[in-house]
Amino acid sequence: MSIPAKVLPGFAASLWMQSAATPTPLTTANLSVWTAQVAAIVGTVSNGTGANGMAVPVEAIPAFGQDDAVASFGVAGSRQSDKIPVQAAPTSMTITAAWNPADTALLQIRSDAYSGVVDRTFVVAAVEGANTVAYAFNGRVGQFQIDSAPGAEAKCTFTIHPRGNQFGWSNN
Amino acid sequence: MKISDAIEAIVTSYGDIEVVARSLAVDAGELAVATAQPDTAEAIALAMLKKYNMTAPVVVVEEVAPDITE
Repeated sequence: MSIPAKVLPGFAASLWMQSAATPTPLTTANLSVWTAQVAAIVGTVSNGTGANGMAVPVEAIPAFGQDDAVASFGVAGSRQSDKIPVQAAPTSMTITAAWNPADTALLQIRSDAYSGVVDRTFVVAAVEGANTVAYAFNGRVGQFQIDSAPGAEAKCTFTIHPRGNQFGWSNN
Repeated sequence: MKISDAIEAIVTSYGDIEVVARSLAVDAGELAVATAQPDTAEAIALAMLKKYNMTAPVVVVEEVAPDITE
């Protein structure tokens, strides 16, 4: 799946997810389809709300993509070996958000983490003006923690583990 | 395999659609004229099929006998 040939000079990134309690995640091909698929989660206008999605109130979008994975070999007497790229796992996204016990999205995230087997489509939307570039992927949530230390505002941290090969780029 | 069946297999897959497309054998002639609406899962699937199943045109090079005369 190719990355859209669109340049957003200054954009704001946001995280969206399917809103249903037991969602049917988009299939791999549909993760690259904006119309009626990804747009239904992000919304057809900039930072709008789609019919099937809602925003996740995160502090920042962490790095996403794939981890580095290489195989190497050694030969006696050789100083250096090749590093052969092998199948790299998708990067898990550890996300911090201000903990609000009444926030629908965070409660859904917490519920998913308790379950551990809920597949859900997430979208990282880069928005600049009326232009949106979306990176959609399917993932499961784990490691949901609430840190209510008295010295700062309560926050929650969770990790989204993307499913392998289930991602796609699209734009409006 | 029919093009429509191959597209259906890719569109409904939750796996690596590159691998799925690579494993589906379809008629190259039928594939060459197949179309799909842009920004649809069918278009994604069709692009995958064309990537891995399009048969390159066969170019026949006539062999020239070596010149053995002096």
